[in-house]
Amino acid sequence: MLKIRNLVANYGHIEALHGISLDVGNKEMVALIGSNGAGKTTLLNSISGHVTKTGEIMYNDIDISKMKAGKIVKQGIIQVPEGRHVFPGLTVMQNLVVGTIAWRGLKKADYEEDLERVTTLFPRLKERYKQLAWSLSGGEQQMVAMGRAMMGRPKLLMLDEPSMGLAPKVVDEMFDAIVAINKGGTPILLVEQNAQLALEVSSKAYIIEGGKIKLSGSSKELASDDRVREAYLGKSN
Amino acid sequence: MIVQLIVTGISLGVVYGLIGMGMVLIFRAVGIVNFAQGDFLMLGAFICFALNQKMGMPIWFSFAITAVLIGLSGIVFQFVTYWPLRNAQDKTIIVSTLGASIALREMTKLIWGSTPQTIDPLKKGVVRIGGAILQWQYVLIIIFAAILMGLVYFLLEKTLLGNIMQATAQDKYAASLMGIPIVVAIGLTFFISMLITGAGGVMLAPIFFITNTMGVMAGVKAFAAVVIGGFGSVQGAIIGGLLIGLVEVFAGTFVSTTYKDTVVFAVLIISLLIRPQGIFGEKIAEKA
Amino acid sequence: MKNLKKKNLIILFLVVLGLALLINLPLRSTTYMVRVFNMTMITYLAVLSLYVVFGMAGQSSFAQCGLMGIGAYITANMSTKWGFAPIVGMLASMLGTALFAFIIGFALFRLKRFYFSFSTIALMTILNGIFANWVKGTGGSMGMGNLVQFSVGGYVFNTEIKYFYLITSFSIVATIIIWKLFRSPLGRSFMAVRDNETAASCMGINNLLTKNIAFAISGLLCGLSGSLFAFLSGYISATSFALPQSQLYLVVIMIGGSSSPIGALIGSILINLLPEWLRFLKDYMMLIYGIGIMGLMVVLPEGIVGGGKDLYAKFIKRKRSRVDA
Repeated sequence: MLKIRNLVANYGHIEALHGISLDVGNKEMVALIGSNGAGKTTLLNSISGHVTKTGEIMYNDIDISKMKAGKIVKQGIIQVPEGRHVFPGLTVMQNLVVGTIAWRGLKKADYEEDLERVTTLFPRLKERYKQLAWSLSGGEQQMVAMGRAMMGRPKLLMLDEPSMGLAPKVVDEMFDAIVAINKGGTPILLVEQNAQLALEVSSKAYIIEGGKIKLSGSSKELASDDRVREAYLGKSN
Repeated sequence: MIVQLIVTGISLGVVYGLIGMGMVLIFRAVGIVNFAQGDFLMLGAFICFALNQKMGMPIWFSFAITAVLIGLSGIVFQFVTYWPLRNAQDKTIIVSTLGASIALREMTKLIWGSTPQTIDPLKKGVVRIGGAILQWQYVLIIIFAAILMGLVYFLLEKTLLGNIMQATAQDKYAASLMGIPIVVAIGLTFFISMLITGAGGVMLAPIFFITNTMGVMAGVKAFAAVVIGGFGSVQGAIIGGLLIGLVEVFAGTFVSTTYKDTVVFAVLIISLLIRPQGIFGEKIAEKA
Repeated sequence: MKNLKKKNLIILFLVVLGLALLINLPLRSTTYMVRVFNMTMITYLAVLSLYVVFGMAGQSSFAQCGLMGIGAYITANMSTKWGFAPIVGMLASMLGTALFAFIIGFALFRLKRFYFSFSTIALMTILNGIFANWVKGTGGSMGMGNLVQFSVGGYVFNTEIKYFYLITSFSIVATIIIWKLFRSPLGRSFMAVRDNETAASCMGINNLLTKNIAFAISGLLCGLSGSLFAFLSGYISATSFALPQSQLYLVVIMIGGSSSPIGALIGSILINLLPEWLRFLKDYMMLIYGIGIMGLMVVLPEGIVGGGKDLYAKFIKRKRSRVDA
């Protein structure tokens, strides 16, 4: 459903992506792995309309490369940014409700079911509805950020480093939820520095380095690829 | 006598609080201090003057129309002062608002002249409350300002639109990722900020004369209120405003009318030295 | 070597030309215009003080007119009321204002950037309140009039032209001193504080003291400016030393360019000379400034001087690339 061809993106005069091509199919979980500065976040920002770019981004046969950010969200593409970016001064509930704007704008609508879905994924949020988001722990904030995105009824979910800064146990919980979301029918483009986890949960993966795709293939293959193992999995034979 | 002073002080104070609230809303939304805020109080007074005195419309009607017009002028202000400079340094934007302040003052002087003007009060006459004789205008200012503040609070906290405004103020990037149109959300914030400030102008106008410089002192005192209350905090702006209003009135009576402003600002300096972050503290976390 | 000599010759030529113009100027203008030139330079000294505290040290102060007022009232009191020699009055103004700024700076500079600016607004308003109401010291709202003229030895400055040469000399000396300051370690410490206080303190700079010194120097200049104003106009009152003027100074130094004394000069020309040259626009002058600064901040945030520097850099770039090609 998402086809990217020859994406070149710039930050001012600096070219950050030098011709990326990538596919995400229906119901797939695709991982994008790379180290800091490789261009992962730039790629997501390009898709969501926050970076100037050239190239083709086809979403369900619609070219979204020239679309404005608001319209892209209305198409169902929702990005959970790196570092969570919850609205600190709003309560958990308010954060979640704001997420529903993605599909309903300002119209009155029933989002009870959406709330149900989110609290099934992240039961801990139910106890924290009235708490201000800035006072939550890192893991809880990540849950709020993802829950907020899910409230937007995404047709393509893009996650930017969901494991960043979280304790291992929390990361496991998080990834359980991510897998559940994908199993529930939502395709996910997962950007991660934690290559091992990313390869475990995804069916397909791309390795990005210096703004270019270096490797791609099924996650199983890549996980046993020596180059990948040395560079990203910290293993050597 | 004391009751009268307290009522006068509170009524002055809530207007400062309204201006201060306007300032805080803008500061939270776009991170700059608007040096022209007080001049929108003046603009509100003049617009109401034009409607009420020059065109003969009844005062409440003029009030309502003025509020809408001033809000719209806030949106214009945003596009002219903030939006073109949204990626520039803070000091550049602040100087631009200074320029807007000067421009507003000169514009109103050119349009309506420098003769002090006045408008009809919201309700003429006096009312007896518990043995004290109070001017209706002061009482109505307090009631009306309280209603306005309550409405703004309700809007921001309890409505989706208000939450959107808050979200945009707290994290523009995340708001954009949710599909929120940033420029609309900011525009709305400016609309409300100027509306309440202009409303303050209409309410004060029958008490003081309308001149093109009436906003300067009011704006500076509103600054003081916001700083004393805690920069970035809406409650702070209100409490600070009340404090400043009461200090001004009591200093005017018990110290001297000529030095009352000096006392107010001496209080500000003392407050800055003792507790620079204000009563409620700086709200940095929410500004993201 | 040859290029350097050439450059120095050009500068020398310009300086001589400039001096010749300056000496001739008052002789070829009406008394009224000479007064305007005088006021321009008095304003220049005050805006120059902003260059020191804002352009160099990065602290936006709205109190400059208040400091000017202190200088003016000290001179008025000392030279007229108490009969001290004018030069003593002037010195007292400069030192007194500098001392005042230095002392009050210790209180105000404890506050962060933003809050410091507010406190200067508060200071300005307090000073204006005192100027307007303290009848004993400042004449209250009536002001102080019939002030003595400036005189040295027996020589009295009692014409506009004499004041012109006096004030010009002071302005030139002040500019040279400030230019030297810019190139001195002290001046560099100002700019270090302006650009990054944390880094500055890591380099061993005492931020509080440095800002204070900058403020005190600006007080020195404002004191001089106010003193000259008192001598020149013979009458001072609180309306000359109020917040709107301070705001205007900040606006015009941004228009001129806060990165150089030339910006201060441009600024004071804008306030004083432009309304004269564009007489027919006099009523609209302030409005034009207001709208002008708003537009200018979008196109030329570094002011006219900054824009000039940009143009010069582009010109040099083009010249160089032509040579390479």
